[in-house]
Amino acid sequence: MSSSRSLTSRKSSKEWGFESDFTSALPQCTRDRRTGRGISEEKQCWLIKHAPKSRLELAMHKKKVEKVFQVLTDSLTQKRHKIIILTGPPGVGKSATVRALAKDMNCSLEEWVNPIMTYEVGVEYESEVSKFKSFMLASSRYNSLFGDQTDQDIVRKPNARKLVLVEELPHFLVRQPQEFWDIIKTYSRTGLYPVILIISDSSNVVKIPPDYLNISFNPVAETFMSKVLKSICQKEKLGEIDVKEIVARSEGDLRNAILSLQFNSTTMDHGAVKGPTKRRKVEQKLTTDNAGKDTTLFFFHALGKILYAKRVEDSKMDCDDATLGRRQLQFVPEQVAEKCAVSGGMFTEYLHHNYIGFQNQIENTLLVTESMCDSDVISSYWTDEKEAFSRLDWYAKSLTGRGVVFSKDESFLPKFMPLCRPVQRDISKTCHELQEKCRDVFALQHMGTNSSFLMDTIPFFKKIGYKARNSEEYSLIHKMCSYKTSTKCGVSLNNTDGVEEEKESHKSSCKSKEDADMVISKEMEEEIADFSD
Amino acid sequence: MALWVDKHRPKSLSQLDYHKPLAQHLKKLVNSGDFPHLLVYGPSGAGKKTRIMCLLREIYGAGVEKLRIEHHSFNTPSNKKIEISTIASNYHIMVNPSDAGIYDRVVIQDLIKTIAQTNQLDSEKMREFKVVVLTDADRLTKDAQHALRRTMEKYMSKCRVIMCTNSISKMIPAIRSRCLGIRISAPNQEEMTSVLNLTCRKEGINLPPELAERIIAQSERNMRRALLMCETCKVQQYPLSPDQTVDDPDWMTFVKQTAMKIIEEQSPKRLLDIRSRLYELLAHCIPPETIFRTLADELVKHCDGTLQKKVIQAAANYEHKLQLGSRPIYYLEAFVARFMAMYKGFIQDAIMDFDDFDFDES
Amino acid sequence: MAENFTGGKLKLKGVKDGKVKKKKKKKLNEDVVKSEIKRESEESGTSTLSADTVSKPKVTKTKAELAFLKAQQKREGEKILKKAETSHKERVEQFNEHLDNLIEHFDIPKVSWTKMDAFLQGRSGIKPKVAAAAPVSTAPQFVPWVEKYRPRTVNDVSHQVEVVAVLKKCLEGDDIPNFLFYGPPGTGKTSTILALTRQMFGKEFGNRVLELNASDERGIQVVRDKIKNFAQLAVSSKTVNGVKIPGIKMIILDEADSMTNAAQSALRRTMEKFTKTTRFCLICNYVSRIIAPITSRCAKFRFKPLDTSVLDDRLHHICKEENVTCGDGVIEVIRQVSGGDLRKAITYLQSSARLKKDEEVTKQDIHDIAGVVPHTVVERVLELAKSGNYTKLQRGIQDMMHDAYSASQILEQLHDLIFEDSSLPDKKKSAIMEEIAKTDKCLLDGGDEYLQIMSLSTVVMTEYSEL
Repeated sequence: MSSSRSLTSRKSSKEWGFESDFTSALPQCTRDRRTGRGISEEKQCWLIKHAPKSRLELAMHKKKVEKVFQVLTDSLTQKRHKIIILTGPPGVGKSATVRALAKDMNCSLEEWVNPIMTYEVGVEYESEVSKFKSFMLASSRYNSLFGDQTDQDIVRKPNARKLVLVEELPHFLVRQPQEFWDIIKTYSRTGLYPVILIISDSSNVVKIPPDYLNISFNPVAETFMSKVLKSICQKEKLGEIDVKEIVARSEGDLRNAILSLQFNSTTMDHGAVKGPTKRRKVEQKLTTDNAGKDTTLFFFHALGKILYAKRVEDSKMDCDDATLGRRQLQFVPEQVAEKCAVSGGMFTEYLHHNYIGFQNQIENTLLVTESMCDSDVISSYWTDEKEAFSRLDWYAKSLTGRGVVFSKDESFLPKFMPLCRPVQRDISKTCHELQEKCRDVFALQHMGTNSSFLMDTIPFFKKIGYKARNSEEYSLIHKMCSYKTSTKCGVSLNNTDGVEEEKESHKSSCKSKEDADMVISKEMEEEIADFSD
Repeated sequence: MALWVDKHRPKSLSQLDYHKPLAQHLKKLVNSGDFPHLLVYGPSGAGKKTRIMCLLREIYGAGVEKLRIEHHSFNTPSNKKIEISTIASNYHIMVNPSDAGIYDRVVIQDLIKTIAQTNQLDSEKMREFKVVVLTDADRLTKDAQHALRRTMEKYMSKCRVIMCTNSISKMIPAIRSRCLGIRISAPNQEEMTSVLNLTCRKEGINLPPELAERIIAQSERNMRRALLMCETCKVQQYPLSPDQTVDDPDWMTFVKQTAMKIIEEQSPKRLLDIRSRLYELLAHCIPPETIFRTLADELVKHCDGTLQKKVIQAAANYEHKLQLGSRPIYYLEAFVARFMAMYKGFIQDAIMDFDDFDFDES
Repeated sequence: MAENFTGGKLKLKGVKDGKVKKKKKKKLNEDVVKSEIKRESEESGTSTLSADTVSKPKVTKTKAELAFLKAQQKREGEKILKKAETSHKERVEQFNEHLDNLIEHFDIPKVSWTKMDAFLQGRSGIKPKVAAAAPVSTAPQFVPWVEKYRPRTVNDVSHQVEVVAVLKKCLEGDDIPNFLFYGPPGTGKTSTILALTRQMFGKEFGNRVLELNASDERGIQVVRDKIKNFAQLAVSSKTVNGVKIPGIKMIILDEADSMTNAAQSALRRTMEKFTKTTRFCLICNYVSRIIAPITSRCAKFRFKPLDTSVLDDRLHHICKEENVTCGDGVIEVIRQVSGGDLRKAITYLQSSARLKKDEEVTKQDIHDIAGVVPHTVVERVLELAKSGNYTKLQRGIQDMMHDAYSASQILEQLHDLIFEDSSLPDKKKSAIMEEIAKTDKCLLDGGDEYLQIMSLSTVVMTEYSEL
């Protein structure tokens, strides 16, 4: 049992290199795997080289560090929080904190690594669930025979304090979350040492039960980040570098920032400065084209840019006609549109859903709506040739972008309002589903002409008091015959919650549908009772 | 529980209430022995389906009325499986090809081939052919129509096709030339009145003539709708009174309310409201063409003069674009926006004229 | 198996000490061989055969077997003789015939003339038709009169003079060019080429002609595969019976203007390459839709619209044959409605005759069948538009829509009416015509009929009101 455990943990450093375990990997990774010779310092990854070794080196707010420290000591001494969950966006320092603190507190760190499922002859198949279970069981009871892999500085004590770290979440968490949380629960009752779970889940796939202590980490502040980057630059003797661009692009992800710093600095000269007196005060510009993160966030920025349509102040009108002339834009709509990695159709959908808040006069909305219609016609044109397709896409985006920008009145300054997701696809999906259901449920009655049935006959069902034959028919009729008018008539544009209210009324209508379903069930029982009579 | 529409539907050609000469012709056609492919067209609620069923009964006898629901599955060339449900009897099969979406060509070809290959349990009285009824045939893709014409030719001996469609102009000329076109126009006022009276008599209800008139006027010469409206009236209040309110279908009332809202206020705020109402209509499977038509007609009632023409022209323009595009809400909203702009300008002009007028007077 | 293995040299069965001497090929001493064989045979104890013969396996056969063997040998002999007789050319011919008879060679059931006749005979078997025979009347089977009364010979296609003259010469043995027939529909293009090929090839029609029309697959792939394969087959200038026929094949591409440009370009190369053995005949409505390289390779024949008298005569003839009584002026109406298209005219006649059975066919019936909107209706629309009252116009158009008339048909008739209206100045007329064109396009794209007609009528209303 323990051997398998230690096998798995020992595999971590060798098989997976330096992915998760900075400090433990330190001795191994300085060796070139192929030749066995030490990797020269130059070629090492800066993430490892400059990893924080103590809690003073952590790039986050002191108070946060203190809090985590407090929690950990509490859990070790007073046995209070057995399960600690750390959440937050990637690269903000969650595992770095844990390791640094573990060192400070003289704790050994036991880590779970996802095992490779090998089917060896003679070894019985063990499912991942059971492997995890045994890991948790063993880590709480037994100490490692092989000494601590984390750091050879820590003197091995028989009752050494231990922290169990689960950073690499087991694969079955997504499909069988209940089992995972059951194991954790059992552990919390029986285990000796605290378990730290690190969930850097940005897509909210994993649902965390609220009963465990949850410490959330914020993205790294710009000051901290620039401090760290600058210190790395100093250590690497790169001289003064303008790190503003990298900091802005990385959006709170320190790991990403360090990596892009290293990557981009390879294109620069390294000042192999001999002697501390010579200092390069030349600010070297980094080529930061590649330093950005992925562009999904960029999409909302792009939408915002186009919707707000900021123009350069004090620039000339480009046309003498008062109605047609506009001042110069601060950006080029086509370029903004190209930077988003979305199709023309999607781009138009988002703009269409959100543009009204930025309009103050109905005459101006004419321009936008026209351009959106034309753009949709262009996007719907199907062609097999890929080039033509992408060209048309470009035109569609350009058309919409320019239409929105042109129609916005400069003098009108709406307050901040959040952008919403378009609902057009959901609506058409609902429509399709309803149609199919009607077709299946009322098959014999409409005898093929579904469309006229939907329009002519079904609306009268309710009024005539049609007795539904089963609950499906009933709920279908109910859905088809009820029209919800929006509860707010006149969404004020100055209201910051303008568009959100629309969303809410949508939500509330959904809720009322749920209530309606409840009512339906009672009514339905009565109806069926009537029918059976 | 059967609606009046279904209960009192004529079952044979001799029971039909209007378009009697056509019924005669159809009878002769059936008895002549050489039965061509048919293309039955006409507005909604005119009686196309009814007549097709009567015709089938004339050909095959009462066995046609024993209907059952069958499920077929087809494989498309791209290895996708399509499930279609059809209504069939021993002699015919009724299918709506637009259920298959863009794969309707495959569905039709396979279905007709299958039908044509199965032989009738032969007796002398029976016909050698089976009938395939294609409903909503104007929704067929052009691809499917071209394939259909070839299939129709090939399997002529074993299988006859009867197509039922609202508008004949959506069928390609090749199909029109291979089929005998049968035009079923909407019944006129007298015919509708007589049908309503007959139905009410059968139900044992007294229908005041003024109410009948109002029902017929509101139903837009749609027999099905008229009968449903009549039944609703009876449910709401019996004995029927001449000045009872006749209900429109829900969606129509909703559209009318929407039109009122547009007339009340013209601003981007209001446009947002209207958008959510339009979404509601679309979510209830009302086709956007119908929304366009009804909305345009309603809005026109509140305008006059040149504005009316402009409104209808704008409606035609946007509706045409809608056929080319893929997201109906854009075009509906664009139409409403344009109407708002036109109407606002119109009102402002009227006010200015009025002011000028006053000024002049004083 | 492993257990049964005993080591040692290989031994011959029956030979004790098995010293079989390896016969060196260089010194094959016959005597030594003979003596050895003798010795072997003595040792094995079999009956000694003559030293000349190598030991034969003794075969005992029954009489039947022997007889069978004899017959088989005879047959083989005959086969070999037969093969030796035929020349290479004849062998190739026979092979071609064999291929042609394979069903898989043609994927689609082509409309061969022989099969067409079978159709007309009503499943009574394939009867080859040699000369122009009187059309056979068929009882219950549904036979389109268009097929029944198609001209059988080139002479019957009497009203396309130049074409017929050239084709006659071809029949007499002159070289046949590639053909390109174009002209309005229903003027006899397909009939002509079918008649021509029938006359040329007679019985061999099925083997020599490949017909592809617009509803078949005619993409570029098909051009490359099917057409090319067919074009590559070699044919002889004689039939099996010794009748002389042109040694070429014919490929008929009907409705060629719906072929894509790419397919047409692929076609032109095939046309060039196989010009020795294959001729093409393209049939289309608009010659402008065929690419220039193909039109330059073909002899173009324009099929003129038919004269009124020709149409009338034909229709009268069919009426007589089919015992259809037509009212006065019905034939004229048919002619008008079909617009010079004989196929349409015959189809209308057939449909209305079927519908009316033994009664007289009236003008109204033709109008109904053809989907023609009654003149009164269209006139009424125009009147309403002139009146300037929107509500009335709306009512009128709604009623018209409820009568289920085809919107594009209404458009055509309205166009004719406005064209003939002398009270309207040209400028206004042109504005209206432009609107009509736009509306037609919108209808074609699938626009809503009511809205489009309303929109058009309001434009007409505006133009008239400004008079």
